[in-house]
Amino acid sequence: MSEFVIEIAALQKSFKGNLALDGLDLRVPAGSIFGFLGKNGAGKTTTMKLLLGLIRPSSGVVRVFGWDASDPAASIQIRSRVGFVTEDKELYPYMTVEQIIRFTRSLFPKWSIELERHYLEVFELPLKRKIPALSKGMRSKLMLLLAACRSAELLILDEPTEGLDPAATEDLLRELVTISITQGTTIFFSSHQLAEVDQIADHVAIIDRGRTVLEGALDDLKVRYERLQVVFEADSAVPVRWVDGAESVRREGRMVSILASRNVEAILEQARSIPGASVERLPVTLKDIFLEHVRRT
Amino acid sequence: MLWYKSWLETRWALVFLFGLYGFVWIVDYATPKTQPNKLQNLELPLDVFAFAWIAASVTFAGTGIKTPSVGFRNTKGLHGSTHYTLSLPVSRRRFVRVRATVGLLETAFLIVVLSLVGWRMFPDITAQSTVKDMLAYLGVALICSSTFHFASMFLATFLDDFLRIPAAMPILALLIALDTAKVLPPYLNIFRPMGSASPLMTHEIPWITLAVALAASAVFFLATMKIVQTQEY
Repeated sequence: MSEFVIEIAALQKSFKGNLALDGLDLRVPAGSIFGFLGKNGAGKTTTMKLLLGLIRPSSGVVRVFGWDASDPAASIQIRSRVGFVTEDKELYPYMTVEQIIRFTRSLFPKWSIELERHYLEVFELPLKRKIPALSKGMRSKLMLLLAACRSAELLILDEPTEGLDPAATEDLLRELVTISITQGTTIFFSSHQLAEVDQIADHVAIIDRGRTVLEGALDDLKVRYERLQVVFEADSAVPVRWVDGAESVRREGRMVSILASRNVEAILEQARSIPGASVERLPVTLKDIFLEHVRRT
Repeated sequence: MLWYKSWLETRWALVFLFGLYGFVWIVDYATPKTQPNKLQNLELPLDVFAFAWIAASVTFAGTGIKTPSVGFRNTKGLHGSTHYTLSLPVSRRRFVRVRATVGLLETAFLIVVLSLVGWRMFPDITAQSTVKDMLAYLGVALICSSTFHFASMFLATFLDDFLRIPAAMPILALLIALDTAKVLPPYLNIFRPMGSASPLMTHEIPWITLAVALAASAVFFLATMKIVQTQEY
């Protein structure tokens, strides 16, 4: 199998003339927990729909497990190895929890009864309850059960923790990590909760207006970026231009906050050259990196 | 298990229609025969039968992909369970095929059971027809009502359930209007062979009309398949 479970190149998708994806490039390594980030309307859900063949690309390449996701026959093969948690967490309103599990189980020969029992217990799902009577949080858990028990090699999760309380969110994130570790499942998920992504993801991509603006291993990105905080005296001459590599410079009173992606030492030197300035190196969070990239565009 | 999903989608409609039609049959049977029976005229009860079969076939139709409406809730613009359905390793064509089969079987169940019961209950019909006529009637009713089933399935590709069912009825109204106005050649009228011009009355099988009904069903079915295959959700 390819090193990458998902390969997307120059992907474009337009809806009635409106460009939702504008040359998206993405590669998701096998076995990774991949956080897919972007503002509302950036194209995350559209990308996920394209991966599952729900919609077809206007141009470009979408490959999952090496198969062309836009080919209907290949899409069935892909979907037999993928678990999906939808954005709105809607399931069949005429089924009970037990019925939808029975129905979904019948479509996946590798269904794990042990995992099913485990999740029913951990998530405390009421088997006899009709789906409309479940809270959104319960539906999220049920969808994760349905996605995980099929022994999927790839889980595509569209905002899986939306609607969950902090305790349930923690449970779900822990289960995702467990699935990834114990089954080697690749997890591709979108979320607006950057702290969650920071907590479990090992790779991230940030997209904006249908284009990838940043992609890579989270640890590499955190090493690559540094935040420098410069506090100076009131009458100090603060440089108007900073050394190349200062991705963003924000000034608040007598403090300048710089997010640097390269030439960190040169920027430090420039900051230290300001008379009376004190410079501090701070750890970078995913939120810093995300905000920098989506604000820039 | 796709049949199971289709069955769960439609079972209450089947129970409702079976109960409703059964109730009407029983009320008519229980009406004292010394009183004037409104259904004495055979053409009218047979046309009522035909309308009942069409209403059932239209109701049981669907593509098996879009989320069925719950009551009169408008689901237009909402994806509901559609994305979940389409994320399963099943082709869209298979969803449609299974859903169509289950819907047709449910329609057939209603037609066969209630026709046979009705045949026994209405002595006027029994007196005028043979078992062979009754079997011919069942076949004609199944084939002609299936056209409405496939028309309704076609409408389901772009309409919500609560709009689809009333939207399918104007097709019937148009047929009746064209027939009344004598604009429609008799062999194109797929409503009458289920009702007042059925084999129970004519003792003949309307082969040309059956061919028309099958052709129309095939057109609606193939159009539905084509749309569903290319539709984006």
